[in-house]
Amino acid sequence: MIDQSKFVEEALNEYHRLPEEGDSLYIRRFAPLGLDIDKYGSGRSDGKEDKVRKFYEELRENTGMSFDATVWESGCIVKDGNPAIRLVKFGDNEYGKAISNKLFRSGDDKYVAMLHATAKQALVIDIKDGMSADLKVLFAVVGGSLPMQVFVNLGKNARLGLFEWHASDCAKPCFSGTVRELRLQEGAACDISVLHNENANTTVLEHTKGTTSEGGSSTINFIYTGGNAVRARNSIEASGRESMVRVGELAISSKRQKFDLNTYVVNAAGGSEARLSSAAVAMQESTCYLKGFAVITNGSKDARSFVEEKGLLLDGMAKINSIPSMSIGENAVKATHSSAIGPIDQDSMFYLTSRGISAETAKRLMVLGFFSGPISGIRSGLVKEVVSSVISGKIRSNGEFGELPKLNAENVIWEGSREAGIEQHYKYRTEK
Amino acid sequence: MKLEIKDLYAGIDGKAIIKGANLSMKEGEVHVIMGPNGSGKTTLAKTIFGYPSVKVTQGDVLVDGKSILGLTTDKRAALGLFLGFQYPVEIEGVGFVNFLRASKEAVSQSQANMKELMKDIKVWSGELKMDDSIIGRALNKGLSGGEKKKAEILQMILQRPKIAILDEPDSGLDIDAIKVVAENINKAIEETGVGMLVITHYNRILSYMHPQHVHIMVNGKIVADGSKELIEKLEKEGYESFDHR
Ligand SMILES: Nc1ncnc2c1ncn2[C@@H]1O[C@H](COP(=O)(O)OP(=O)(O)OP(=O)(O)O)[C@@H](O)[C@H]1O
Ligand SMILES: [Mg+2]
Repeated sequence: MIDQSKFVEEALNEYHRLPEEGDSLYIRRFAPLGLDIDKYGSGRSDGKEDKVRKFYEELRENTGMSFDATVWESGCIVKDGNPAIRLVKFGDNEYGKAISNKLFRSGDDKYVAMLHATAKQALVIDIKDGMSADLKVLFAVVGGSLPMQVFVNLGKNARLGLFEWHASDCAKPCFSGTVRELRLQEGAACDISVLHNENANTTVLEHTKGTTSEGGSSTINFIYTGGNAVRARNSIEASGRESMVRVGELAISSKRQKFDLNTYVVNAAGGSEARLSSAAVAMQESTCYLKGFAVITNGSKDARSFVEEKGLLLDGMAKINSIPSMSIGENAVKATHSSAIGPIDQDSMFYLTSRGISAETAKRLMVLGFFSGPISGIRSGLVKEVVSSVISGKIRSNGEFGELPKLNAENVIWEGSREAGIEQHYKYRTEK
Repeated sequence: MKLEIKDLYAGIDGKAIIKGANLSMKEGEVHVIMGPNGSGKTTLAKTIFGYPSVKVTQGDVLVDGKSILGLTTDKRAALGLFLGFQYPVEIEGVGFVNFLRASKEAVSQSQANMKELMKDIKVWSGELKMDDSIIGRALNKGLSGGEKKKAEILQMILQRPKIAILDEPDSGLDIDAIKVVAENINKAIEETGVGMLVITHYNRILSYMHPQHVHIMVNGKIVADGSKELIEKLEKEGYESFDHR
């Protein structure tokens, strides 16, 4: 019998010592031992459901957001009558097993295999041809650890708007792990925002694979604010002709948080477009790695690929390492990548403070401004507000994270919003 | 409000730029500083506002008899000082309206009335003949040189300072725009009694204004003080006759 919590703690400590985990660590810590799911916080609901409910209520109170599904270590509540979304237990039937195998193909990432060893359920979002849905899902780690699988299947010309809020409230070291597969059929379009705002005892593992068929379009925004460490390995592919992929990464790290974000955008067909925009702000002693990778496969004529990484350092000890990279197997393509990292501009700071604005507020304004491009890539107004509030709250509280924020997007505008938009924004604010 | 610059010496990176400047002005007065390029006019304005890399080595800047050199930039603004920039900074993603609100709230220490603010912006941007699409934009982003200058005046008017230092409010403006800007500066003086310290190279804007005091700055020093007649002398003789290095 192994002491699970001690085991997790040791493994996480070791992980944190290494900027990039080596296989030997994994093999030593995870592979030979395996994880005992029942031991690892996925047993019967021991009052956790109440905790989740509290979580949910608090979030709804603070943000006005209600969730179509709420998932925690050992259960899931799906709002009545929503045919688009359901929970599948892996052991239950052939379908569950198939999903499980689909999500955890062999040869995948080692950490994914670790998640596989502990996962028992998957959330399946299935939108039929020509149908559309707009969903919000809360993932709450309230006691043990949450290895969660999300399987998204969009039929032909189907539409999906999805917001995932990943939160945790663990007193002991734990992980919040997600394996996500997105499959878009011809002409389908998704707009997904994934917000990670876990607490400091949580290590975040994020793993998404996406394929986009002909004429389809995938927009995915990852927002990383919480967790003591984040390890993201994402690969989103423009698979069919004229398909389009847009991935946004917004990261704001503080204290000793360590974010390690490795994202591939892939052009695998002619006329396809793949775009990755990463924006990171690092506070205090935190570190953020941005490892964007553009892949253009052989035969993808007239493909367009853009990787943009930018970073803003708020403190002398903060680090951002931007390592954009590409592999191009085709000649007739257009590919650009750029990277820019720097501290807050002294002249901008002076300009704002010369108008009476305090240095802290000025900083916050500039950080929100820095993120305004990526935030404007999120389509839902409410999600924009939530994301802005979480970011603004993190700066306001001097780097705290994992809290459930109140909506307070005071100083945000999103690019391209005109007068009407602004007035509406304030109207909305004052009416609430 | 009274602003005094007393025997001020200041520099950047160990290089002396302001070398013994003296100037005193009150609310309601209109002062002009003229001086050749690189003489230190902008640096003087930045020193008054506590620009981080400018180091004061001697002398003082006083507001109502009290030194402000120990105050952070925002606290100086809160006293009722305003700086219109020679080169307004473009700031990504910071909305013009939100910025105005933040500055209004900071200076007044109370919550801004958004409705009123929006109305004021519309009225005054109209007066300044500005396209009010500026409202939905990021701060100074994509504005032309002249539009940026007008936006500075708009901010000055909305912030209602007691003393405003305008660093070349006329540079980059077309002939009609100079008149519009001067008229609005005059209106602000009339309505609020704000004191003005206008830095400029050109007589044109001054022909619409009524400066009581003219100061000539050469090589980091105020080398001459006088009335409008000084400008005539300057027009005839250039800066050479003022340069007693
Ligand atoms: N950040 C800086 N670092 C080094 N030198 C500087 C800096 N800023 C200004 N200077 C120098 O200080 C001197 C005065 O510059 P300043 O901008 O104050 O002149 P000015 O009188 O406003 O000129 P202009 O009429 O061209 O606007 C110049 O020689 C300039 O090169
Ligand atoms: Mg100047």
